[in-house]
Amino acid sequence: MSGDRPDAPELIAAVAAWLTGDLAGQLEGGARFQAMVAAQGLAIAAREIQLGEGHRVLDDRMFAELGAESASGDPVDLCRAAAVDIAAGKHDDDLLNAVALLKAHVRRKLEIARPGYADSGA
Amino acid sequence: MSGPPDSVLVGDALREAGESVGEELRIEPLAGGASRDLWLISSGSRRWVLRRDPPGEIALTSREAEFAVQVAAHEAGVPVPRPIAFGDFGSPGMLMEFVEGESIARRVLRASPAGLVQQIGAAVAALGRVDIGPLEQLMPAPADPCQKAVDSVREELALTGEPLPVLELGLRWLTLNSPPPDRVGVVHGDLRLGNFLVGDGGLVALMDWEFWHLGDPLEDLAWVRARPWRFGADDRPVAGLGSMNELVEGLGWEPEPERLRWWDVISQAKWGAYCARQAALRREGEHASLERTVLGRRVAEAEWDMLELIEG
Repeated sequence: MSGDRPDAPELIAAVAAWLTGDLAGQLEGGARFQAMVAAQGLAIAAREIQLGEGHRVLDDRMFAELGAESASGDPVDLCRAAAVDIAAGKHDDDLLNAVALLKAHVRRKLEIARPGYADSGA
Repeated sequence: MSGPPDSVLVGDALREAGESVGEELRIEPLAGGASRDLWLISSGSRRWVLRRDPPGEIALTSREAEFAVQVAAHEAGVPVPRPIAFGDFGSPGMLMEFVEGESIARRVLRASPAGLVQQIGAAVAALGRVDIGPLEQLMPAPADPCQKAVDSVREELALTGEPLPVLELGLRWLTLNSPPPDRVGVVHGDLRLGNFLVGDGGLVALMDWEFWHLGDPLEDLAWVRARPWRFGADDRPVAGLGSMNELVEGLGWEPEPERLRWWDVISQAKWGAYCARQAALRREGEHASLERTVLGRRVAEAEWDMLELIEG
């Protein structure tokens, strides 16, 4: 972080706005679709920068509740520990509790990847 | 894109199969084949389609088996493009009749003809009447289709190289709640918008039999009503087109709810593993597609829908 502005989220937002506004308007068909996908990818990245830290705190707490442990404390290692436990049947007695805990984790992932998805009807 | 197939090979194969072919054959590329090489063949007013493996690529599915299932489905009254011949056209491929219609999902959704969902149900019912005997030489019938489906998601998950605890939880639930084996029939394997060829009167053909296999017919019913294939039209659960009642009406029998739910759950696990795999393939340099890369993040949608289904 240099501290200069525009910062990373602002730059990403500016490029995404240019893709969907200026560029997409000049394109058609497949190329237009690609520009929209590109903007979507950038929007996900911007939200991850904004929300990632806060989510990590909540996810650490969730993994602790799930009994997943890792020496590094790295999120990927915590995911791995949880995956191994689940596959080994550690949560078989109370699978729905694990479902509820992980659902909160997925809701956070959706706030980044696809806001609104968890609240629209299935 | 590879070069066009040899017109002499194509012409001979058509004539041998009893098709009336003139002196001149026109061969042009056809859009729409995501993983296969598609060509429009024409002679005067007659038209055919050649669907072959991309030359030089190792095919993971068999065009010969695809031809065999299309023959069997056609005979059983399933709407499919009439299959004509299987052969070597520079790479293994099949010739079939060209069928006019619309398959692009958003266009079908914009103007879907009345009765389309019932027709999809009726097509699945007809598929259930296919005699699987002759097909078993090409495609072994699993003793336990549910177990086989779990194994194949497990394989896909392993290939992502990522720990995915939510999908792992799905697999665990699926293993603990697996219904006992029921009847085995032909499963299309990718029954969704995009593979329905639709005309003014409704369903003209089920296309793209690449992923067909022998298994539980409920697999197709779950896949066709899975949320990713509704294109946002969640009030119309079957392919964004209509209701479950309409599908059952065309089908003519009521699927067992718990068994169907099991297939709903695994549909989401399979879709989630597929999405996650796209990110892995990008990292491995197997593709450079932006769309497939961003698709990787849709794993969270599949996980959410899967957990909702498990909670019931």
